[in-house]
Amino acid sequence: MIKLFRALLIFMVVALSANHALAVNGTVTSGKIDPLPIAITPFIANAGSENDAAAISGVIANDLARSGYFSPLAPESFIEKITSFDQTPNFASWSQAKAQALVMGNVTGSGDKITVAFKLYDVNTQAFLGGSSFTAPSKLSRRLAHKVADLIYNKITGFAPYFDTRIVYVDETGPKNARIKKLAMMDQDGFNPRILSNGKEILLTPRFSPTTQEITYSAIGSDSSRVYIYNIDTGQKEIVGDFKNMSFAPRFSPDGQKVIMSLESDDGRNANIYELDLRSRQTRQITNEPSINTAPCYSPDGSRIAFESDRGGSQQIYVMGADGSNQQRVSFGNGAYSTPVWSPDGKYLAFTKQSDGGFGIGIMNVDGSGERILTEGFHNEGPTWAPNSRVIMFFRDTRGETGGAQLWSVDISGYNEQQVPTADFASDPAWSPLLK
Amino acid sequence: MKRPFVISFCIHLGLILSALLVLPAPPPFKVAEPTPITVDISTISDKVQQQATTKDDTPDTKDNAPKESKATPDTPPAPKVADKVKLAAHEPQAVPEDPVPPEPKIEPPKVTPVVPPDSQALNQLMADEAAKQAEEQKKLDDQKKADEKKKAEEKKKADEKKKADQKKKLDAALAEAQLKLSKIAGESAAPAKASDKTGNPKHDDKDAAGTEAAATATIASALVSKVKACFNIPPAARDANVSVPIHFLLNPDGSVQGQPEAQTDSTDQVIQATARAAISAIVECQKYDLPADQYDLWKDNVLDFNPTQLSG
Repeated sequence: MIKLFRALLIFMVVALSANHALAVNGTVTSGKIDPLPIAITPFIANAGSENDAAAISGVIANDLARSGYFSPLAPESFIEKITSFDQTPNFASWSQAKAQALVMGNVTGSGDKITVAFKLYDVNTQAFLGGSSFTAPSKLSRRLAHKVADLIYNKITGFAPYFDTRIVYVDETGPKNARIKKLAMMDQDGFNPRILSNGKEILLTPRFSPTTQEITYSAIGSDSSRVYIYNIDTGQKEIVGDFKNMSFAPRFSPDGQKVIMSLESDDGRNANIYELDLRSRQTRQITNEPSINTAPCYSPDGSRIAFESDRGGSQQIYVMGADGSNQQRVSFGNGAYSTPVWSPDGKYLAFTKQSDGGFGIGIMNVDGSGERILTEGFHNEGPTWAPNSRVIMFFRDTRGETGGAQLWSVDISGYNEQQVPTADFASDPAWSPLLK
Repeated sequence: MKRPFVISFCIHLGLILSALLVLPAPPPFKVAEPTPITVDISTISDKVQQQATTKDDTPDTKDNAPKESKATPDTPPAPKVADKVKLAAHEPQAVPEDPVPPEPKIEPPKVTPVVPPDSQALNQLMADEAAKQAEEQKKLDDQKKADEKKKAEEKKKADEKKKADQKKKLDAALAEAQLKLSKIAGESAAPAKASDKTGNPKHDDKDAAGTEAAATATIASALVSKVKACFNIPPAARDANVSVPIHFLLNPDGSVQGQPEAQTDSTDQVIQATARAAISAIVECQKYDLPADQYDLWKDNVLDFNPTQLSG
């Protein structure tokens, strides 16, 4: 019996040593949600590239700060001066400066080309988290900065990037009762604005093509509203379809091969949704209702279409198959719902909601559940998604004779509302896919 | 002729009686030796039960011991607690007590053969013999009769006295043994008897595991509490249901030994970002102030980062 117990004891000791590796197991279910303190050191520059280097550091810091997830530290707080791209940082000094992440960079200008290289470190663990090098024509130095910021953003947040993108919008000038509306485009941070049209037509609802350097929009000319496609590279525009009635609210299909839009009925009292194949020029009617059906938007996989309709008495959001089948209302809250926009990840519909509180911007699940109002006020309208489905841009009108539309962005959590700087009043923004 | 014979008979009888009384004595001591060890089992369980959490106070909680460790959210899972059972046998105080045989051997029965019953039979036999001798003596001289009777009675008294002393010795030895056992057993309580009755040695292991589990849970809770203050949840992990286990070693002074490692092969960006933030938090929050005497429990750790709450 004693032998048996001795054997048991030995077994226990052996088992103990074998299992000793996992002494403590715990689960961390909570933590902080603070912006990450990040030190973006002045990028090292070769002779002649100093201005570019300074600008690039600034663009990166601005991108990260505007996302709401980073808190770039003031350069004055830096203890160590980085003088070489190959320098090993003194992490203790960066830790002392309260940095949790550290970015070092190098800018090399050569002729009309510019190369930007960077390294990203975790200050606490001194771990090298990533780095890369980009080369482009010098005039695109800001895009290189956006690409660096995208990689940092992706590495730290886990979200897909969105800084290297553009916004197309309607630039508005002139008195409130006689606005001049032009097609315009800029970087997502408001820089590099460009006016693309002459202002002779009233431009509405510009939308990027997901695959080509094209924009579709509707414009009200001297006689009627027409849908156009504008080529960004060539500056050429063309009318989409040959319709005798007014066409408006166009949007590209996910593959860029079709444009979906609304066409006014002959009596001018109703509108239905049509699809035009850009290659075959064939038109297909998708809805056929005695009501106003408009603002169509494909799901990312192209299998469904969300749109607004007043067939039930007030504007509401409906979802149907891409062939018009199974049309179902999905918005049931108090108020009128309009301009549904499918998120690039397919999870949500962004919308404009008009209710007693004014006009709000919100998101809901595609079945209409989980409605969340992100911002509300006198007049908010026209949501558009960043390609990573995390940020929504929209325009907000302000009251009074001097008031006008301005562009704003908000995180889908409802936090981090930021105005997007524009020189003039601006409305109807549309976010481009990530640039290549 | 008869007198020498009687004397010889009496002497032999006395020798036989004393031999009978003395010789059976050793066995009970040999049997009694393992006994104290047996009782030690209940001692461990009692001590453990006093230290362990309330659920262990009832015999029924034996099977629930691992579940109890789950009482706190950060407690290790049952299998890990079960592993801790093995640790109990490893503890210094438990070592001398583990080889203990089951209790049944403690019981007096083995001691009883040594005690009175046999000697009483011999006494009876002796009495009968004395009676026979007395009758024979009657036929002899009355004086001689009286003398013999007196001698026989004296011898009988002496034997009885010897027997009584022996019995007294045995009782004293037994009492002393019981006293020692009681001391070893400490304040033994009912639950100990319950475990003795079952004769199931696992009971002690489970109780010890309960203590281990409680200590481990406390340490895990302390670690989690400190780490979460440094854990900046990556934005993408705030909506996603990610679970990233991080394995890390601690030095006896509470500092992190080497670099924590994420126990995942996933290339998912959310998981990668969560792993980075988790490792950074573990390093940032060092040193950890944990009980030095329990270093074996916290030198090797795994924390699972599953940020389902935004703050806490």
